[in-house]
Amino acid sequence: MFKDPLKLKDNDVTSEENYNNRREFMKSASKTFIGASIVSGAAMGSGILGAKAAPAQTDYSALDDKKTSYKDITGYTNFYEFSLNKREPTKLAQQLKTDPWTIEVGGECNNGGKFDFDTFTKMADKEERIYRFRCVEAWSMIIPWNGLSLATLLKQFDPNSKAKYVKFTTLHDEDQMPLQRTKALTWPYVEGLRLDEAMNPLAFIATGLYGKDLPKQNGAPLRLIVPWKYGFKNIKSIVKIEFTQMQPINTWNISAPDEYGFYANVNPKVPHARWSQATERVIGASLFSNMRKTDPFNSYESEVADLYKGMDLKVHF
Amino acid sequence: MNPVTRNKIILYIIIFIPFFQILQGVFGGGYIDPIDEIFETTGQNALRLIIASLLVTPIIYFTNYKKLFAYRRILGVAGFCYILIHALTWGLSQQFMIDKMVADVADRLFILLGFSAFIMLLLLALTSTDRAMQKMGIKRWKQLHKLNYILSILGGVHFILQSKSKMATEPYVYMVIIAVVLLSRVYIIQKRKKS
Repeated sequence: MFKDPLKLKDNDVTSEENYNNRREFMKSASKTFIGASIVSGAAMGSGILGAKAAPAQTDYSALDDKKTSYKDITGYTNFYEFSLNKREPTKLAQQLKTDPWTIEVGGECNNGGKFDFDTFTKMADKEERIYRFRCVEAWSMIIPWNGLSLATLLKQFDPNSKAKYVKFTTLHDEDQMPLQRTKALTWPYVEGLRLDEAMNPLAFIATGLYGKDLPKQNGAPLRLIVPWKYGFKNIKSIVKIEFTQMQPINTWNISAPDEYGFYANVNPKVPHARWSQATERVIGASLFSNMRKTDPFNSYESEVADLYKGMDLKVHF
Repeated sequence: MNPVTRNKIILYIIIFIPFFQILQGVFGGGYIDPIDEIFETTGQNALRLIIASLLVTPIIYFTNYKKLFAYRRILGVAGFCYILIHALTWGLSQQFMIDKMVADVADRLFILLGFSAFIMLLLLALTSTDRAMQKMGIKRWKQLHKLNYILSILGGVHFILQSKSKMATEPYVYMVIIAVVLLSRVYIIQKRKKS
């Protein structure tokens, strides 16, 4: 009745309703004995799952909360290459050509090279992960991504001992991304992670959502997802991945260094210059009940807090 | 129909368009991020209406089209109504918790500016009736209502400070218009002194 998530392709189109029904099924199935055997192995690329009997989906998800609708996820995006407005990329990003797509991997590693999208995405198992998404602008969504474990991918490029950071770069093409002709930001968009952050099992490369190919406005064909960090770290439409010795300087940090740091971990205690980060507006909720308390590390504290032991997160915001 | 009545009806319709947008957005599902989108719609339209009300006097001076005067109050009061929704939405975003609201005003310059402008506009709205004008006396009333210049500048700076992108041009357009209105008022005063 249900396909093994391992064999699921993004373009095996699932309607939102079916998708939700399927999740309900898995949720109830997991409570019974057979459940575990149906879905186990779905996210085996990640180490911390092994000991737990629960199905892969629940380990990396916020299943009890209502997922944001496909319409809202794909209708409200920050994609400054196309527009400064969050509504417009839905239409304007459609001009982006995502096939063919090449990802260049280089820097301090032994197994770099150029990979076409299909080769690249076959280097790790397909997984589904339902993650909280917290924008630095204090709104949040719950998004069912599909894609690949970043750690599983990165290990295959065999980073050498000099590799301390991973730098990601978005496509730079003024003809396709019109706002790259302006000075809205410095182009191309660059983001970075410390290597140990990138190797954390939560770090993910999304190639789809709700079981469909990643919509262009959401960063097609592939983007980074680090759910314990603010949305702008989740760089879109990646064409280059480099292992570096030096900390990459990320685009928003160049634009406003006092407002956007390198780490950008979700932290209710460190306000943005112009608004509090203590609460968030839940997209899709009613106007009168849409405020939610923001969790440290966007609720992923137990998985990632160790990465920042001994660091003053008010300084390294 | 009296042309002034007709024009007022047209004006009311124009003024109410964003309000219906808000209703549709909030209750008809048009908004994805309602608080943010109400902020934008109400803030933008309030500033436009207030600037329009500021433009009335200089336009009358230079064109001698005195009938325009009949619409000034409507523009100002409508601007206030949008700012009232704007301020209530801000309250909602702070869950109407007084300590949070005080902290937000104290910690953030752009909120302080916006809040100050709101209080000023509240004073003007409360004294916008003919009765208030009579009670205060025309001279004092006029003095108080000069606050409209200050609050529109505060509103413009509030708009600039809150925008995330340095590319935002709209608030600067408003600031230029406000500056032109102010300069024209200075010019008018100088002229009147000479004559």
